[in-house]
Amino acid sequence: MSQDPEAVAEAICRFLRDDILAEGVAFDAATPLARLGVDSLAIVELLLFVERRFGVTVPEARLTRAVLGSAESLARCVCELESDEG
Amino acid sequence: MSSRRLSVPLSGSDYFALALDHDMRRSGLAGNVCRLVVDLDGHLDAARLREAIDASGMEPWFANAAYSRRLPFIKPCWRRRGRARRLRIAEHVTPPAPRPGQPEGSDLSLPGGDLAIPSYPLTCCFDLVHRSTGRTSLVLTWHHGMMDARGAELLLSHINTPAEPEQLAGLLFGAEPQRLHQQFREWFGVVGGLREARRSLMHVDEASHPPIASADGNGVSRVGARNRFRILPFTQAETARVGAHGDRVGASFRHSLFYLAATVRALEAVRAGRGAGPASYLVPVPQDRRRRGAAGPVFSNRVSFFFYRAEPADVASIEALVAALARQMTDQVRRGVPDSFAKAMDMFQRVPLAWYARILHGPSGGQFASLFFSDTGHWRGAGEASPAFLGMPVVDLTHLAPVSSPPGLGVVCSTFEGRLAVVLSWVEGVLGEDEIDLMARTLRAELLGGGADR
Repeated sequence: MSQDPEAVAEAICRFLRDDILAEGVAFDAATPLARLGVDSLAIVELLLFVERRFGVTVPEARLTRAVLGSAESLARCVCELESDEG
Repeated sequence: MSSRRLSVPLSGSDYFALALDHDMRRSGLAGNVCRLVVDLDGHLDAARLREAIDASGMEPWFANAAYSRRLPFIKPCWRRRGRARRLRIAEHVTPPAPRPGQPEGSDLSLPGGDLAIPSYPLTCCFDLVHRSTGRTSLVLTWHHGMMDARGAELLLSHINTPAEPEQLAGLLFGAEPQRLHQQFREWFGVVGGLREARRSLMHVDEASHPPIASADGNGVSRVGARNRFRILPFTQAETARVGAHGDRVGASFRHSLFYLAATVRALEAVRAGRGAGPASYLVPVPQDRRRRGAAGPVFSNRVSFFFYRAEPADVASIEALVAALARQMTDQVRRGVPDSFAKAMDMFQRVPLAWYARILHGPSGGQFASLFFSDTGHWRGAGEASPAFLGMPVVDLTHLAPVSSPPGLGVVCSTFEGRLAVVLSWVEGVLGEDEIDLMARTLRAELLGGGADR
């Protein structure tokens, strides 16, 4: 069953808040990840979270700046991949 | 928690840095001492800097922290000595005599010898190098045992913009440190901790089987040898080209791995020039463990490590090497290797320092890495909108990290205002001038995508 992009973005934001970002960092799904100091290690952690939580592996070809720009853009990619697989 | 507290526990990476320092000094090098050079567009004098340091509230810790172990096999701690020392600030005037290929702001030569090097007791100090152009280079020199590179950047940010007194302790130390009774309780969890730590130690053991490629010949004495540095600056346009080439070879968001791949291939060019046979590269890469988006903690090292191994077949092409490193990164995150190694470093704090240094030196004679590599990333300060220090624009920022022998070679990448800089650090005698020229040329070509110009 394909996911709602907003729900996926919310789950990604929750993971960022709980596991990656410092307490009190203000952000939303559209905030650029680079502005939050999210580095390559944090992105790998994020991609592994997406794999565990949604059963979707983002292929190398999709790991572009646009897709990895924000929680929102990554969520859209996850939903597209889910519907492709579904 | 108060910033006036008298002790905080060491982190596992503090103790690791101290063990490296022990090893460096035993082999005759100057020690695990780092520098951050900040070039300012203006004249900064010692009185103004002193005033800002006083206002920051950071001095009592940074000038007076001393290593202490209260009981054998209990984790050591940093203690604040009762006698209040001041951080040393020295001023120098240097003529405009840059080394060939270096901008004036990167020239660290000084009349009358080198900058001061803090030893024991561990501390940090400041030098202000006044240039003939009217600019000042602020040089922060610190012992790696007490702080990492990101901590040094944060220290300067907090001197620039002092925190409220009630925020100071959190910015300096982070979470509430463990009390002695908690440490005793932790002892009972040692078995579980060992199990956790074992995962990374097994990974390191698997990754480090010989032959390991190195620029350093075994058994050569380095007594009295100095660390030398060469800075490879890239313009904004060149840095954009580097990013585009990284994308072309499949690095995607993993810029650091692309820089590492280019570095390994540059060292391979040097080894090829020596007629060295095929060998694998083992590179430990530090990783900042602070929560992202935070302006602290400043004090203490907050890193763990990834361990990358590049086989001769991988090194043959930059694309293959980037792909191999990317696979290893994901695999290590999946297996929790950095977390596990942080636990291992934590466990080793109970071992006396000299033993620990001996363990690191190990059966491989200290050949536990082909080179040291780190990428400090984009300078972020503590979140300031534009880079400035005490009202003066920051025009450049350079990290200079020491290296032990072996491996005798280190590479630090950093990006400031969209400009990449790569600093080569080597122990005198490990690489000749021609070899450093070759390494610098190859590294630039690998990064820019012009092909290796050998």
